[in-house]
Amino acid sequence: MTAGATSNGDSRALIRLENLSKRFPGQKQNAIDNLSLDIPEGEIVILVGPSGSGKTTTLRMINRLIEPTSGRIFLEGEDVTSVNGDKLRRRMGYVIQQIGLFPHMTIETNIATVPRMLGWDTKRIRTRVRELLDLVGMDPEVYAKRYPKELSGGQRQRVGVARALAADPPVLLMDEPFSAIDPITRARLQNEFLQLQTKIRKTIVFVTHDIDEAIKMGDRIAILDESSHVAQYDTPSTILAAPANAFVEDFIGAGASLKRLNLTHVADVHLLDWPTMPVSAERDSVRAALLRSDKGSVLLVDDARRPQRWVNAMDLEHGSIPLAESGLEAPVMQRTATLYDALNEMLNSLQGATAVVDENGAFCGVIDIETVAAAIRKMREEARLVYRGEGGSPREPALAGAERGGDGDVRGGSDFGGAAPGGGDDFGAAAAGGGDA
Amino acid sequence: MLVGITYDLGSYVSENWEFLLRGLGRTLLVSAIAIGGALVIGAVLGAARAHRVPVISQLASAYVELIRNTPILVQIFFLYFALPQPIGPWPGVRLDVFTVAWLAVMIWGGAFNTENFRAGFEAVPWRFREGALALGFGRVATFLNVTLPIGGRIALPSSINTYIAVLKNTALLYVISYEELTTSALQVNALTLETAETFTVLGAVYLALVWSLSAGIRGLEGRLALPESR
Ligand SMILES: Nc1ncnc2c1ncn2[C@@H]1O[C@H](COP(=O)(O)OP(=O)(O)OP(=O)(O)O)[C@@H](O)[C@H]1O
Ligand SMILES: [Mg+2]
Repeated sequence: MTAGATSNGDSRALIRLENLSKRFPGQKQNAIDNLSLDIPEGEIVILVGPSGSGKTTTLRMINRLIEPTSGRIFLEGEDVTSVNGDKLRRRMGYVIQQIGLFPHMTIETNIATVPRMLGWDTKRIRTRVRELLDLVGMDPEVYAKRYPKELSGGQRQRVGVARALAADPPVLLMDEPFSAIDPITRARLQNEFLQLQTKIRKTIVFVTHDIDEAIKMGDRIAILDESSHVAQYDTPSTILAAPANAFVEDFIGAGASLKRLNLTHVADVHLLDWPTMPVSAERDSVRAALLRSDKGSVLLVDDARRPQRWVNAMDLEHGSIPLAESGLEAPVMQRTATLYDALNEMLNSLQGATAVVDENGAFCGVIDIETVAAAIRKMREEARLVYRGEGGSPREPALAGAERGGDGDVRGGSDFGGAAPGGGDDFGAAAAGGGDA
Repeated sequence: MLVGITYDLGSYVSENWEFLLRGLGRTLLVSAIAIGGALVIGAVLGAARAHRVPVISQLASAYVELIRNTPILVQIFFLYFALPQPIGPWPGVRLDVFTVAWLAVMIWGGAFNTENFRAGFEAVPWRFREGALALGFGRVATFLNVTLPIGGRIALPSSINTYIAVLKNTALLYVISYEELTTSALQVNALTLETAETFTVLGAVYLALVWSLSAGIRGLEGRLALPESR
């Protein structure tokens, strides 16, 4: 079943696993059996599969925390099957299932672990720690001197990522990094992590047992059956559109067409222009802006163009309430979020539209329920064609509104995917209804 | 001079304090050496036990069994009287009383501390060690940076009890006439027959010693404590 595993992909394989097997002492069967996998540079490859399928073992064999019984491992073209394991591991950041931050060290010292080991001087380490905390969105002034126990689960997870990135290794191995975190925070961390990846462009092997997370995070997904047999290794969109076999189909579960909503990112659809005004503006100029546009509301933004409030004509009538408190709070959506996230946000908020922000939190447009509904309609039509065999190619049906649809750009998934009642049709109808309202 | 009728703590102390202080000094010296030694023995052999280092682990286990299952008095006598005598060309071992004094209580404390540390190291959650290995620490570096500091903290409360016991056990050194506090006090008693005063002072001094030792270590424990247990 390794046929599809060594892909003929155009990008260079940064990590190559060749006929890797592992048999633990005293066991009759191989825990990992003849696994071959090419992991292209700069991509997120997801290993997903049921519990006990060997995902963690596979990951630990890549950095040789577990030594393979047979087979070979290549990193950047070099055979690393028998090089010094400690040195090898310094070339691969590792974020483990339960984070494993050292409880007796401050956040700063935790992150500095590898640089200290490499003998960096104090000043360089300090700068690097600050840089990394900034990178993962944590204020160094506030958090550097704290201990892991004084952070929330989500913050600890971010520090775990920062520590793994400390010496700038080309590879990041992540074992269910977000699994112990509540669904809302998890969705946010996923989005932030995708955002981060656009900056750091690491080669990432990411283990999860959650297919929705796999679809959202992965450039490629390897679906593993027992003993890490590769059931399918392909892009999320292909796996959803054309599952290789019954096991994959089963694993994706019901609502595969709905899951496709997770493949399109907010950044990939056409965002609407919306009138904005500084939150410090005069009431009259806001009113004027409202009259000039056909939107019925104006988005108030702060100095850094971060969305603050939605106000309409009626809100502006209440002269006694300061602008900064009138109207409705403006929830925001990151560009890396998916249409699924956006739909959810809109169904939960009173607005049929959500402000979209870039990595700095600055406003970059609005996504409305019409856009999502259109995507759903298009998708359902395509699905019908695919399943009747009427579609041209079942592999890459374009998504409504998707401006860029290449392999590298297609990602999706959300926590809410699994919780969607009754699968695609119910939800599609609800969304369409919302769009009409 | 009848005990109880002429109970006079003030004059007892003022007449004998110099002699008793010398005994106290020896008690402190022997305790300090023994506690320091027990700390090192405990950390090293505890690590060997926890990590199942071949040979050393088995030897450590035998040592712990031997010490824990024999009376400390027998151990003191053994070191003082029963080590091999010089026979013909063989040199034999003859230890002076001071060496036997600190060695005996140290060996005793080390055995108990080995168990304290073994338990502490084994209680370090695997994910911390895995985290260290994954970052590229070797086995020794993982032990020094992760297992020792975390496991040492876990072992601290039980090892405090061992250190206190070591301190109290120095009183038994009177059986080899090592002139620590108890021996000195008994000598004063033999001369003055002020038994009530002798044992009042002796009890009070040990109480003060144990209290300050545990207060000191608990202060250290407080400073070492991780935020979760604060
Ligand atoms: N150290 C070990 N000794 C013996 N068997 C092991 C060891 N580690 C893992 N196994 C076995 O290897 C198989 C794969 O385990 P692995 O932890 O890789 O699964 P996984 O896919 O990560 O599962 P999960 O989703 O539950 O984390 C299991 O059957 C497990 O019992
Ligand atoms: Mg696992």
